[in-house]
Amino acid sequence: MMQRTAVREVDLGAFPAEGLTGLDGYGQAYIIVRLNGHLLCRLDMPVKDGRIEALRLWDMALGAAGPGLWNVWLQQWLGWDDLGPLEASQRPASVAVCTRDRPEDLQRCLDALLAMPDHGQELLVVDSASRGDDTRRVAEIHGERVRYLREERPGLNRARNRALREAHHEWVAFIDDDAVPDASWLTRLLRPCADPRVWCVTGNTLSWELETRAQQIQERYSSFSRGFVRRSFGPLAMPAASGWVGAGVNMALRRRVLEVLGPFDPALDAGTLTCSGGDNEMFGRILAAGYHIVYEPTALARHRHRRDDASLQKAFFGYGVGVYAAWTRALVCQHDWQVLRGAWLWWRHEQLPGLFRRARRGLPRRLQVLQLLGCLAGPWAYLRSRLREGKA
Amino acid sequence: MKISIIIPTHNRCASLLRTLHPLCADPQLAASGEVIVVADGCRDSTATRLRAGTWPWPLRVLEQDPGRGAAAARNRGAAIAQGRVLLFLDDDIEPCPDLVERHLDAHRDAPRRAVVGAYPPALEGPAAPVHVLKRDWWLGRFHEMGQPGHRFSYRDLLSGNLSLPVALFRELGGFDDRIGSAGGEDYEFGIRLFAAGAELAYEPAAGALHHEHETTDLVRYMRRARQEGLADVRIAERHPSIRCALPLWHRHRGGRTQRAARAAVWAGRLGAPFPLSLTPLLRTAGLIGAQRRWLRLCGALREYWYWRGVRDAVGDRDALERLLADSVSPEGRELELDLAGALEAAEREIDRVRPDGLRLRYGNFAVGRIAPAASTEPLRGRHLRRLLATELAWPLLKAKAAHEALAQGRATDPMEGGYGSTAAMARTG
Repeated sequence: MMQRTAVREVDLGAFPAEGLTGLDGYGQAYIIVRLNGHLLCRLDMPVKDGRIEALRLWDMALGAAGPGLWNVWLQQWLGWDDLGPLEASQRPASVAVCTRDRPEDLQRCLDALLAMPDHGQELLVVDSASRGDDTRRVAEIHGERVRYLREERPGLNRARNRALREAHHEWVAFIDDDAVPDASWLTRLLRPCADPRVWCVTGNTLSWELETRAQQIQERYSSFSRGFVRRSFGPLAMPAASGWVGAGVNMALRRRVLEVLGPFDPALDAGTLTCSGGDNEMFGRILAAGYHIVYEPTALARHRHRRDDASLQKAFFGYGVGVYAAWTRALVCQHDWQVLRGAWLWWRHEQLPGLFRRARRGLPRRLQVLQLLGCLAGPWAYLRSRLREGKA
Repeated sequence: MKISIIIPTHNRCASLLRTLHPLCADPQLAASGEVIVVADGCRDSTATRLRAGTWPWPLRVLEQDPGRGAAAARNRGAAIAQGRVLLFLDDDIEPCPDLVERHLDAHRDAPRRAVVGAYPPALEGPAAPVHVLKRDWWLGRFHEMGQPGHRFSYRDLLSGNLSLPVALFRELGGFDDRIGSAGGEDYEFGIRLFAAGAELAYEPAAGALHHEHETTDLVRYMRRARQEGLADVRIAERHPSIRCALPLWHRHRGGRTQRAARAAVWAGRLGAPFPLSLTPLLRTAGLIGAQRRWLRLCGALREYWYWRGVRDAVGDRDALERLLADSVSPEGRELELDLAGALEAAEREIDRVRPDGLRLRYGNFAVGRIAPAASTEPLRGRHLRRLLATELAWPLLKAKAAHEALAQGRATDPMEGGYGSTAAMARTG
């Protein structure tokens, strides 16, 4: 039974002596734990009488953080971690937000981006065929600080390609319009970029709010987060592992990807018949070419999940379509036979056991079935989308 | 004359011309430099074509008999060089503009320094697995060398884009051409460089592109592994203190496949099915895109061919054991340091003394030891934080926590101290 969940943050270096208060009406809390600003972990705690006691919160936070807490503590004292000095100067980069008909979300995202420290980054808003004028107005309010680009044809991948073509810097960071970046998001995302083998970095995306059941289900069963440990994929990682490296909601790519590996496939992802999968397919291509993708868990953004059940069901169906569409593309265009193995492993270890799990313990049956139906529809959806692209 | 560029070449005339072409546009080279090409057993009329061309700088072409190798070629070129600085380039290197100037700048403030310039692979994008593996290795090497806090060792001396003063080269006696026909002589040169107290630096701005994919395939990759095994034995014979740092030393390590590969090598002819069966499997894995399987098989075969090279040099396992038995542990000056003061003070002390090893403590608690390493530059202050973060993180953590808990007057283990002590530590850091 899912209760209304509050999303809060707590910093062990500036711990509130009175615990967490002001949680009336919430049964649970989803707490993001930091140490002196550095993201450590996340935990769920029950809320009693609108508050969580300090000592209990402290114990649970330490337990959830584990030995990672002490590593981070030492690294902050040394000013050094595995990637080098913590205070290394940040390279200038381009930040792109691809958006369509979500002016309120875009406003929130831009406000957070503009509040980040200025290291010479440029901000691009790519308007992917919005129907109204609101998107343009939201972007143009900020004048010179934001570059507004308009794409007449819909499609998230098309918008991403436009951003890559128009960007001025070597690295382009992407964030979805319904996500809100942390103040240190860009700095942390760009840290692994100094390594010439790394062609993509993905960040950690947690939840902005968990007010409704649909949002809680999405966060629980289809979170964008890939954990709190930095992981590097490559060289010669399995391209079908692209689902584990991160998500396109929060990522950075070298601009050279456009010339060397080709653009994002405009037949994939939101705005097309395939609904999603455009990011997965690009990750797979980068891995297949032998480059590295780094998952940087401290590059935090918070995503506002869909609030209603109908959108959630559409998202799960779209997720199935997208994954299989991306795999179809890899099979057809790059002759990557390993996607068949990836599909088998997913079916055998997750989808099939999930169908037999009791409804209460796993993903709701309806969503599982929708995802499976999406998978079945995926290959044909890709081929149709491709034909449509070809005709246009 | 300021600089002499020496390029050994072997049957790669087109590639050599690609190396020479960007140098034609270099004004510094034209004004005060020369180029010496040593044709090592070339049968493709390299020497004739070079002598027939017109060049903006003095070009001298030497020829040597086939089979002498790149090391001998470099030595011959260096012997007749007139410049104050020697710059060795390979014939598959494509120099970037102002390569020469950057190398010269890097020698301005240090008379006994060898400088390695960057030469990452030119190949981009999807490629055959062996090319991807090699590209990854090269990019990783240069990235590591460019890291702040990197401590240079003999393994960083790469001879494809290397400059050093001619006086230093002659003092060290040049490359050893008996190490092997290809490979290993640069590492051996690095060992002697550090033994003589000279330094090694990396200059990423002195860049070039390396077209190594044109001459790399699976067969050559394995052949190179075999040559490395042979070269490592020769190096171990000449330098007792380096033996424990070589892959030879770790002759019992590794998983099942590595042990099987070594067993196949020492079994002689009986072990021949090992490479014969794995090679077609490796090629199939590459064709069907089974990346992880390819990596595992490639690793197993490489291990096999490396140890074949070792066997070529020593003959049998007993001889290898005898060689490794009388190794010498690297020695050097060790500095005792207390990290409880500011880290900056510890760094300054290291910079002042330049020890080979460290014995570290935090207050009254021992942290650990950085033992002297063979053929590695003496420690500098900028190495400290990286060593602490990577090699001594956990012991340092315990020592620091224990020290600070005592300083706060608690006798119990600070990790169990609960809210108060850990909160205080979290705030102060």
